[in-house]
Amino acid sequence: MILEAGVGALADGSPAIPTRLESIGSKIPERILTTEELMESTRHHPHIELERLTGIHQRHVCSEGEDSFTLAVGAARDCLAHSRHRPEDIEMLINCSISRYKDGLRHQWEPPLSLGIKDAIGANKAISFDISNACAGMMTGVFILHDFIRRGVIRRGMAVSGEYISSLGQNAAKQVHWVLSNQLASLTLGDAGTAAIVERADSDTDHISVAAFATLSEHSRLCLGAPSHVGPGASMFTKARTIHKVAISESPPLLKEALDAAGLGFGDIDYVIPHQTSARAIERGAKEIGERLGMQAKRVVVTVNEFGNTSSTTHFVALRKYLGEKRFKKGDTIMLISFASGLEVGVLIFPIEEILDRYGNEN
Amino acid sequence: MGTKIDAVGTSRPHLRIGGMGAIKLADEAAHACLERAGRSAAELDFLINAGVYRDNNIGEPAVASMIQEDIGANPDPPLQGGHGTFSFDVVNGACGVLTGMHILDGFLMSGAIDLGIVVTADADPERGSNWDFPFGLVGAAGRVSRSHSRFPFAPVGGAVLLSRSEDEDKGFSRFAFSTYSEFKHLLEAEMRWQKGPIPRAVADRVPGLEPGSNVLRIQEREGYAARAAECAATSARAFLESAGLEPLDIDLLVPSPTPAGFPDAFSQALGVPADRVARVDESFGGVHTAGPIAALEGVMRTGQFGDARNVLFATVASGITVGLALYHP
Repeated sequence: MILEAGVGALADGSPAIPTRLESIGSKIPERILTTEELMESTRHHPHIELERLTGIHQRHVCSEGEDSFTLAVGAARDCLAHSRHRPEDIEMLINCSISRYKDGLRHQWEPPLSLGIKDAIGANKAISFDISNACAGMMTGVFILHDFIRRGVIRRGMAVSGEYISSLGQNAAKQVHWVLSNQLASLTLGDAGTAAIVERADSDTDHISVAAFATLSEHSRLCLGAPSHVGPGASMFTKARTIHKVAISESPPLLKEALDAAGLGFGDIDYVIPHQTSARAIERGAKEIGERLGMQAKRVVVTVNEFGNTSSTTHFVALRKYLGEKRFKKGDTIMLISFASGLEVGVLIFPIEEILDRYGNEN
Repeated sequence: MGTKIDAVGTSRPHLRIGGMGAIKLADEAAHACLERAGRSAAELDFLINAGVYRDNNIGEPAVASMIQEDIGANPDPPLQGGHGTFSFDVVNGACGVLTGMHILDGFLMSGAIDLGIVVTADADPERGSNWDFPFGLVGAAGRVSRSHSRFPFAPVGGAVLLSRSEDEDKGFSRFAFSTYSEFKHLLEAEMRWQKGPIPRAVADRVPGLEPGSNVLRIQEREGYAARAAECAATSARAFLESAGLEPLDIDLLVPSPTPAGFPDAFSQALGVPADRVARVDESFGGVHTAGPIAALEGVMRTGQFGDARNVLFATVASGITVGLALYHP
């Protein structure tokens, strides 16, 4: 994998500066769409027990006036509200969303959405740009920030994403005929925004242990999202079972490489947060990976039942939820695992320490 | 120790009927770049795609992953001891290539990678036909995702290969980016649903659909080039001052070739003589994100690039975003 440890030396031999996640924010739309309601809206009324198959009971979806931009801005504000930093302290802002809808389902190609986000939150001094890396977007943004900070180029930055992707579900509902439809995965999607501030760490222990990515591009054409031809927004076509199969079969050596770099075993991880596609797939996949790695993680986080698959934001939706619910304790080790179209395999391992204090956790 | 440019490559359509999509153009530019450098795709650790207008406006996966597969840059899981290739897209308008180089410079300087490539291409999204996706409905989805009128940018691909220089005085010494959002309306591109008739091929297959299609609109408003030159000159003066340089210390200026008139207006405003400006061969037409690479290719060919001491890259994009980089060949 392309891997950067938390400590160590840079190419010129100078020591790398440790980094950490300082704050995490989210913006979840209030409106809830249950799986039952979504399946009732399908045009062809296929007899698919989607909730039983995926464990997804509901997802949150945008209402009038909400879109990728408003979700991203809302998440950035929530992130800043839990941060020690002011907006003008942010030196780099990366928008990581696949969907770039502003003013409803108007996809903005230029200027980049990051420009409007930094204006809206007042991060006037930040370098800004967008990246796109499917559901690995937020983790890729954090990886880039980690690299800039550890070399001392910037002191802190924000990765942010707003995913307004429920239109894919609406468009799929017009076309899905049966359980093997290549648009079935679109019915699992939900809307959400997330943001994370990464900063220089001043601790020997409270820092990102490892950030790593590899793209297994022989599988790059297993999922496609593009503007829809059946209605506003986009459509997505996926060979979901194949993606899951290759991700689980080909990722263990990569995950082991990242764990080795962190000096950890899979059994040392207190919370594994994988990309949230379906509860069954997560539980089965984590078990298989554990068997391949010779030990099981202590806990595997599942939030897809409540939020659906929120694309690039899933890991940080889960982190924000667990921080808010005070479910972590100081010293817990977290491992984010990204499996995204591409096929992107990404890992971020870090401890939960000082960040807990800013979410009212006294444990 | 700095990040050096090993080679560049460009590509243009050679298919007279139907044109070529951005992915194919990017593939060919990457091949040309690697061949020129005498390197293989398997040596690439990092691949960033910076193109904006891509085949059928694909949002997922990252176009970079498809290019990575097409050119054979470690598409399969890395073997023991190897670390494969990581790829993703950067979207920053015509500053995207410079942003990509900024990111690659970072991973090279950190020692995480040894070789990286920034590829880019823009082409009319309707032209994209290099799919190879195993989905039957995709072709129809692509055909009805339309451009509202003539696509304004020339179909051009570009690639630039970067590695680490052991000579600390060579390569990139600094980057800077600034934005002037009061001018964000001067260049905008959006895609939205426009009501209209449903193509019969689709209506026959899926009855009862919403009549209309997703339409791409790109609008450059009057005054963009002049404002871009002003913004770039303001940013460049501060940039050069922070580097302890005067405009006349710049031996070679590599500007964005578009918007039309920008290179001359900017070089005049900054005070860099016209004969030090890298220009894109007119045959390229109005090149968008690949502009700096096309300009660089010309001056690398003539030797002007290799002879320069201080090269200033100056890109402008919607926003208005200004990207600057100082390079020492």
